[in-house]
This record gives sequence, structure tokens and C-alpha cells, in this order.
Amino acid sequence: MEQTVSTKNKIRRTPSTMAFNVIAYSAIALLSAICLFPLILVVSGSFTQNSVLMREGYRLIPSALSTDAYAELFKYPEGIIRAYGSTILCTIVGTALGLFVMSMTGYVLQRKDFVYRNRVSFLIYFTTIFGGGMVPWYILLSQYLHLNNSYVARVFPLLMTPFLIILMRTFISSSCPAAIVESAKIDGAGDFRIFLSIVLPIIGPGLATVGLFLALAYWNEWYLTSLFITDREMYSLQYYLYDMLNSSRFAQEMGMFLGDRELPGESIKMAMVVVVTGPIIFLYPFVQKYFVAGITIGSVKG
Amino acid sequence: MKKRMLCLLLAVALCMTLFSACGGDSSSENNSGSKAESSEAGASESGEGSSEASAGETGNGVDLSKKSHLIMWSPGTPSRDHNRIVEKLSALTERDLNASLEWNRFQDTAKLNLLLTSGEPIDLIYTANYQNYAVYAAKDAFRPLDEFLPEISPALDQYVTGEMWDAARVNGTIYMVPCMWPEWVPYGFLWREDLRKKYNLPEITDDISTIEAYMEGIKQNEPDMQVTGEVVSTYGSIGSHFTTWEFLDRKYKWADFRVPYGLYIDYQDPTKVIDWWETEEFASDMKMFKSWADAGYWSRSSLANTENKQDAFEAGKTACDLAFNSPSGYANLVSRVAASHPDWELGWQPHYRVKNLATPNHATQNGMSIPNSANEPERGLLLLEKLVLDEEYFRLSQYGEEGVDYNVTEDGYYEAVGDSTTAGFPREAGSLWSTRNTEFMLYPEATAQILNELNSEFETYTYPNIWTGFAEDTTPYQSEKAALANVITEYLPPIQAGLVDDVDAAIAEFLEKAKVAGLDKIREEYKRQWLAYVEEHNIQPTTVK
Repeated sequence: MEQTVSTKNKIRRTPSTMAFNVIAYSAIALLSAICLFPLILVVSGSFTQNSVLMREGYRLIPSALSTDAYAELFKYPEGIIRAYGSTILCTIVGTALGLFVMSMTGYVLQRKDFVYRNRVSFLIYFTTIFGGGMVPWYILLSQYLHLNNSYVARVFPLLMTPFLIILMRTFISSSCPAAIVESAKIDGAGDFRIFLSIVLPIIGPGLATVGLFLALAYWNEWYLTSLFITDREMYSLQYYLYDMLNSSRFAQEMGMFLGDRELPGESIKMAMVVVVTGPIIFLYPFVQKYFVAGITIGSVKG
Repeated sequence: MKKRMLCLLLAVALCMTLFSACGGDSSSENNSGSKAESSEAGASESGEGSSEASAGETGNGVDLSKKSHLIMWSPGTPSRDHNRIVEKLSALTERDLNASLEWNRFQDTAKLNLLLTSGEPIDLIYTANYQNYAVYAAKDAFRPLDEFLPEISPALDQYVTGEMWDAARVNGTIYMVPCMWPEWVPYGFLWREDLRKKYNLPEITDDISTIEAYMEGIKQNEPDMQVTGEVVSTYGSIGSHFTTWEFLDRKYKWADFRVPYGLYIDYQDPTKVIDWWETEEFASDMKMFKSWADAGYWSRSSLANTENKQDAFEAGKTACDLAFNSPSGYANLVSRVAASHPDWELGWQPHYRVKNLATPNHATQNGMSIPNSANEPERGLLLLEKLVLDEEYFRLSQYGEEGVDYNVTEDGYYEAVGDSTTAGFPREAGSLWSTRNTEFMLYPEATAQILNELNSEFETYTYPNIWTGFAEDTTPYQSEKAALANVITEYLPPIQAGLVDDVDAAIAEFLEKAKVAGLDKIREEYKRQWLAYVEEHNIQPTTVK
């Protein structure tokens, strides 16, 4: 029998479908263009001479092509390299630690034979609604835990995110039947053994999703740096960028008149943005499918 | 039964968060807690210090035998070689004070607030009136220096004059060591002298018509340039304002152009406080700005423009600036322009010159304080003494390492090593403006001349600064002030930019909304506080020639 994959054998398109397609495609194309537009301006701005940029403003295609901004940026690359290194370190360590701790938490919270399950869940959930405020939190972390100016200050606060714990719990309870755990117990396995050899392999996709969210949180983190880190060499990448972009605004807000200091020119700021966000933009298409799949992973199905 | 108790507890917790939000400051609660602890510690420490008066090495009876650690904070972002300078400075403090030094920077007022309210151990910190010195002092964030300072550092006590000490008082107590370097920081009209000559425009004098002629001339002859790049700014005002407001400083002999809430305090008679927004003069000033806006001197989208005025001017985009700040800013601009645009010539007319009234920076403009949370208050004060009065410390903390960051020319000028892109620690990169000392200061040759000229000119018509030291207590009208700030931000900049159709109607609408927000109540309370301040500090009427 002939196998025909005939291109003429399509599902018949009704006019309403076609109309929908036209509208949908054009709307999405418009939105994409709106999203792309600033990015293109930034990249083209980074390749423009600073004086021309100031005079003529931003263009889609640079009017005076020059790589001066990048040259100046890479004259002293230690700052950016260190910031990259510090962020990558925190992301990897934080994600690994966070995944380990949160998966254990999620697993324990979904075990039906854990008596205090509801109370602990409530306590975790409670913190997302009520908090002591910024100053008590700062006092706790800096005075009592002495986390000032250390990588621990950047990793520690994000390790147990309530939203991700609940996500994990729901996922594990839906993907890991109680029967398996019971049978393993009957066979004499300890709890930790069960967790490591039975549960962890099953929850692979959940780990990937939570890991991605966590990695994103660590990668984008700047607030913790601004509060706790004083040593320039430990700045996170995003804070480094934020600092450079806003140095003139800070100065103005604080009423400082920086007569002698040269503030970074516009094109250098744009080059900085490209250097910091470029690698992630290239990485994102590869991990996108995990994000999309992961959004529904914690939900109750069926 | 249990569930009921739990529900009740939850409801109570909810109510408590409600009340804690509208009640007093959480910051003052924390502060009083930490202050109680640290003032006890402080008392026992100073008790020890005085009893071991003879046991100390140097430092006027301060015991320096135990190695310790000092922490200093100043504003700004750390420059590339900040750590190198801190290391060198720490070597000096270890030699003289037996303490290593940590020098941190804070970039915004939120961080400063956290530092002071959380009771973080800090031995020396930069404070200023524009960074809420009076507010923090009133909440006991800083250590009182009245008796502490003369005992530990008589040299500093002598160095700062009695007048300056008095000006730094909050509620009768001294909480900061003010900077003794006299500085005048007026705004002024900045223009391109080369363009003025090119188009044969009249010389810029005190007469405002010469400025109008210049702007008109630029508009006619240079179609590519924008005449001036005035923008919306938030510095120095409640809510935001359009920078044309700062231009008015040349016209009025008022206590300060930053007096808020649309009040006018007459410099010559400080008890005279007028509601200025309601006056004819205000309306006519706004109409003048409207005529300029209609002539196209600034773009119609200025209200949304976020571009820095100075950058635009330096790039040749604008031809003048109605309110360019400070002699040192001007001097630096001149030296930068000499490098980037050698064919340009600049002119700057400070507003003080036009009204013949110069007020120097108030004592509280730059100062150093010792927080109550300090672990080493005595050594912190000794460090300050060294930073201000010891040339080695001064040079290192302000300019960096000689030979690596700067050189001193034969005529005694400051010369940077390398240029702005290679400099790891540019001049005054530490933002220690409060330890400036006239005796030790070094200026770059290009800027020194301009600065000296301008400063000696201001000296001839300088009068005491009466307003900047006034610490307003906003607690009686906190919420009204916030509401008013919103109204001001929405209605005032368009009026000041002249981008409204009918100035009188716009002002009337603005005043109506402001009154609804509580303007009258705020004004009454402010006037009362101001008059009490005038009486307390015995500010007499003066005549300005």
C-alpha cells in the first residue's frame, strides 16, 4: 500500500480559522516587534560613538559605527569577569543546595504518615503572607547571623522559597504513589534510603523545573547584594550592572555633586547591558521547553 | 475549641499588623532598643577610659593597648582601586591607633536608613542635612559630642569654630563634626561664550533680557541645537520640580530657594513668611517660563526627558543651562571641555552674583558622626582627627597614593596620573567631603584658578546661612505631606515648564488640589516651627546691600 503524505490532504480551513490565524499572527508579530525594539536599540547604541549617541539619540542602525565602548569596557575586564564568576558560583551552589533541601522538604510534607504535616505546611505558607518587615529581617541576618559581606548572605535567603516547596510537594505527591514507599519500607529500607534511591529518580522533571526557577532567581539577584555586600569584588552581575547604570542617578538623588568623577557614558552603559544579558539571551532558547513544561508540573491534573 | 483559639489568634495577628503599620515608626522602636543597649555599653566604656587615663599610649587618655577594628562608611560607589587605598590606610591606623580599618560605601538613602536603624556597628559615618542628619540625630542614632569630643580630641575641638559647633546642634546637642572648608554652591546660568560672540549677541549681564536675547539668538541661528535641556528633577524639593525653578534663585533675596510648601522666607527679615504660590510674582514668573516654552527654548517633551543636562551640554546638544550647579562643577566642566572641545568657550553667571547675596554651605552640609552603635567610639573620633588634621592621612584618603594616583606639581597643584579611564582612585573618589581641610587641599591647576576667583568673589558678599540648618519635624503632618508631594509632582512641573495653556487657571487648579491635600495645615505648622527656630537661634534681621 502506498503511503501518501500528501500535502493536499490537509484539514479544510474554514474562513473563520483563517481569519483567526491572520489576527493571531499579526498580534503576536506586533508584540514581538515591541519586545525586540528596545533590545535592538540597546545593541545598536552600544556600537555607536558616545558623542554621536548623545547628540542624535538612539537609532535602529548606528549612525557612527564604533567599538570604542567595548574597547573601554574590556580595558579593565576584571570587574565584569569577577561579577560573572561570583554570580555563576552562587547560582550553581545555591541551586544545588536549594534543590536538595527543598526536595527533601517537599517529600516529607507529602508523606501521609507525617503527623505534623499540616502544621509545618501552614507555618511555611504563613511566612508568605505575614512578615516582620525589612528592618527586623536585616537585623536578623546581619547582627545575629553575622552574614555581612559574605557569599552566604547571597545564597542563604533564597534556599527555602515557600512557593517552590509547595510546588515540589504537589509534584511529588502526584508522581510518587504511597504504595511504592510502603513496599520499600516493608523491605526494610530506611527513610533516607527511600528518598535517595526511589523518590529522587522519579521526580526528575520536577527537580529540573524547580532547579530552573531557582537558578533564575539566583542569576537575577541584586537586592541581597545591595543590602549585604560591601566588597566590590563580591558584587553579583546584576548589581554590578545596576550600579554602573544608576551611578549618575544615585549621585543626583543623594545630592552629591561629583565634579571630579567621570560618570560612564551612554554607549558604555549599553555595552555593559549587552555583555551582561547577551549570554543569557543565547542560552534561553535551549532551556525554554523546560520552563514551559514546568509551569504546569505542580498543578493538580485530572 | 483548638480551632477556635487558632482563628482568634490569626485575627489578632492580622489586627496587630494593621496597627503597627499606622502607628509610629518601626525604626524608632528598633533604634530605642539598640540605643538602650549601646548607651549602657558606651557608658561603661567611657568609664573605663577615664579611669585608665594614664595607662593609654597616645590619644589623650584613650587606651590603645588592645588591637581592634574600626568601621567607617561614606557615600558613593567604590572606585576600582578602593581596596588598595583602604589597605594602605589600614596600615596607618594600625600603626597609630592599633586598629585595622574597614571602609565601606553606601549608595542610597535606603541603605543609610538600614544602617542607622538596625544598629549596625559603625565607628564613623558621613552625615549631612540632605541625608536627614537632623532626623536621625533626633532619634538618637548618633552619639552626643558635647563632652565626649573635647575630652578625646581637643585638637578637633579647637579646629572647628564655635559658630559651626552651634550650627550643628539638634535640640541643643552636638551630634556631628562639621566640615570647616568654606564652600559656596550656587546655581548659575551657563552659556556658550563662543556661540554668543559668533552671532554677536549682547553680553550676559544681570539683566534678564540679555539671557532672553541669547536664547533667541541661538534659536534663530542654530536650528540643530536645542536651546536648553531643562528637565524634571527631585533634588531639593518635595515631590518633583522642573529645573527652571532653580533659575529663580537669582531674583529673590529669600532665605533659600528650597523652602518648601510654596513659602517665601525673606532673608532680610526671617520672621516674614509669605505664601508665595498665591502671589502675583509667582504667576508672572510662570508666565515668563511659558513665553520661553512657547518660543521653543525647550522641547515639548521635556517633562518626560530623563537625559542628564550636563551630558547634553557637553555633547553640544544644548547651548545653555538655566541652573548649572556649583563653582567646582563649572571648573571641572571647563577643564573637561578644554580637552574634548578646544574651540569652545564657556561662561557661567552664578545666581549669587545677580542678587548680591551669597550664603555658604551650612555647617551641616557635610559632617561626620559617631553612631551610638559604635564599638570603638574613642578610636573612631581619633581616626576622624587624623583624617582631618594629619596631612598623611588626608592625602591618602582624599587623593590616593602619591606617584600612583596623583602627583604634586612644583606650584603645588594636583596632577592626576593617567586619565579618567585609567584612574583607579580619582581625586576625592572616597567621597570624604566632610574631612576637607583648606590647609591641605590640592586642586588641579585648570580648576584652581577658576575656583579661587569665584570663591574670593563670593567672600565679598557672603552672609550667614540661616535656613539650611533648620530641621523640620514632619511627624504632625506626615500623611498630608505625602499627599501634597503627589499633587506637586503631578501639577507643578508643567506649570514651571510653561507647558500649560492658561497659567492662571493651572495655578488655581494646582492650589485647589494642594489645599485639599492639606497645604494650609502643613504651612501653619511649618511656620510655627520656623519661627520657633528663629527665636531659639536668635536670628536677627539683616540688610543685604
